[in-house]
Amino acid sequence: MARKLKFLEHLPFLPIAVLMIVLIVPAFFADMIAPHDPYKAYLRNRMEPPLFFGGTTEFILGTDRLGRDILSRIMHGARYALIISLAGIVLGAIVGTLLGLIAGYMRGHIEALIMRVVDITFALPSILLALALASVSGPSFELVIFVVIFVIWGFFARQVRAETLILRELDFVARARVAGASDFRILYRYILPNIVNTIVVLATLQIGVVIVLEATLSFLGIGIPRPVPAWGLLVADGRQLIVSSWWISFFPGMAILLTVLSVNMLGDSMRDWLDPKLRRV
Amino acid sequence: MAEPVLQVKNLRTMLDLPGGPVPVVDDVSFDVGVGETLGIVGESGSGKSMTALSIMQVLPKPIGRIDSGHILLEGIDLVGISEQKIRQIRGREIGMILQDPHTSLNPVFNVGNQVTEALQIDNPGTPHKTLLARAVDTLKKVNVADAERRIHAYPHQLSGGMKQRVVGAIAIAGAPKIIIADEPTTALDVTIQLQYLQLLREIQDETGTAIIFITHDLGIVANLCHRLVVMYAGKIVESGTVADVFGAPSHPYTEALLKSVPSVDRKLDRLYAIDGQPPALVTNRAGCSFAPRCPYVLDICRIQEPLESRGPSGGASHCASCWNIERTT
Repeated sequence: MARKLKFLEHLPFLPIAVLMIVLIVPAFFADMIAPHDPYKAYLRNRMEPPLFFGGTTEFILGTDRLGRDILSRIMHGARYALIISLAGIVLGAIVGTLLGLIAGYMRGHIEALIMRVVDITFALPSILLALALASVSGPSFELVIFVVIFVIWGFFARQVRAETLILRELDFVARARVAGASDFRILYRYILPNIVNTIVVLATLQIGVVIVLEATLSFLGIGIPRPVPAWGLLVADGRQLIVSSWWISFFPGMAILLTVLSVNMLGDSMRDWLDPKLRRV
Repeated sequence: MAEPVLQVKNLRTMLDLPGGPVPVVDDVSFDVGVGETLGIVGESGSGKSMTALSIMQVLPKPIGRIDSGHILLEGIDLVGISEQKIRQIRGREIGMILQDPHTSLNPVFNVGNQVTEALQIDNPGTPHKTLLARAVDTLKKVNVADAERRIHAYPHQLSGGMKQRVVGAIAIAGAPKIIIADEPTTALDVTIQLQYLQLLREIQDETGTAIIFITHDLGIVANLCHRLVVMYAGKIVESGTVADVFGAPSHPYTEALLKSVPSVDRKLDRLYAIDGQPPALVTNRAGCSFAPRCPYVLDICRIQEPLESRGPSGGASHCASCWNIERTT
């Protein structure tokens, strides 16, 4: 209880505020707060520049080439960014951590098998996999999440295995064993808590990767289907008009940047809080 | 001697190294009685720690294995017992204190958490508050000052001596019949060492637990132990009560070890050192493994392994494995 309150005292205000504004609030309340329908094309107001750059308060961040309001589209896209990053990273981290723990702790053939599978996932182009899967089942939301898991679990497995290899040789694990702890207990009480920091930091770093991956898949038409305002798609939409109408790509790009940056900062604070050595007393 | 708690009989432990199996513990036998402290002495690589790991059956996997022999805990053989059963014995029947207190505690949990974990094994389902109160008691037993506050401290906030006390508290939490202490004072200051040894003795007086004390410090053995065994190259070369062995060392290795301890009374320029290196265990050797370094070496020493014979002190349990045992008398 006291520990939780202490964390609240040291809450990193800025990244949380930014995340709330850019990601969380729009993800939940886009329907209420977005000024326009994200799908509605105002054909008279195509490529309207943002406010202060010759635009009006009607379209604060300007419009794209079909005259859709960019602010509204970013707000609605937040939901997809949030769901895909959260679901993909949480599931990928769980799969990777479990397999990494098993590989690092059990050693032997199991380790060799798991690490070879990791090598294969790194060697196999994710785009190719997505193309193959999309040609079978058609592009879908689930497919994007599956590809995200496929791409990132290996990073977790590798890192977790490496740290497990170090930890399992340390004296406190030996002490636990001579005190009668089972393998399962050693894993969840002695090894896992000591690598949670790494997992959290790694997870926050992967958010950028996931959002970019989602954008790539959407761009190729095998991600989230087109009219949906996913952030990656919004950036991709403006790429041909970057010289004349920079705002079409710029503002969704800023949303990605702010999200990734804040999540990384939040990850830093969480790491400090999770590591007793860095915890402020 | 009192009823033996632990009997080790002809224990042979092998490490399967790439060059072939190597006996790291070779035909080792000893007893430890209730309330008794047995010292295991020897230089690095003599098989002291491997003996301890064999008793706990936590030999390095997959290369370590017990080849033959028996380890009897109150008459029950631990060799070949199932992993599940040996786990019940670790911590509850046999506690262990490791060498380096700085790495022996889990860095992410506070002290109270780690002591209660050890207490919980014996008392599943006890409410956390009760366990915490008992953790405080256990910490007080190992002389942790201000235990009520210290249970909230993390390992990195404690000194080495304090950490080793906490490790000791965890070891005695399960009220074991025997504690194996593997060089527990090596990483501590000399002043803290003394305190820690006194603490071990107090615990023993109070609980009657047997202690196996592994060390290369003969001073500690003289101070703390009742009996000792001297190991060399995986074998026991001499065993007996501390008074007998220190009074009349009958194996040349023991003699040399005792000679190489600096003394306040004797004035000397250079400390005595045993020539040569301990043998590589991989090499197949005939005869006594100490022969190449022995100042009293006979021809037979290089050919045939010496048998165990009664030491010259006349002590009932004083034995040494040497062909040339009469030289000293």
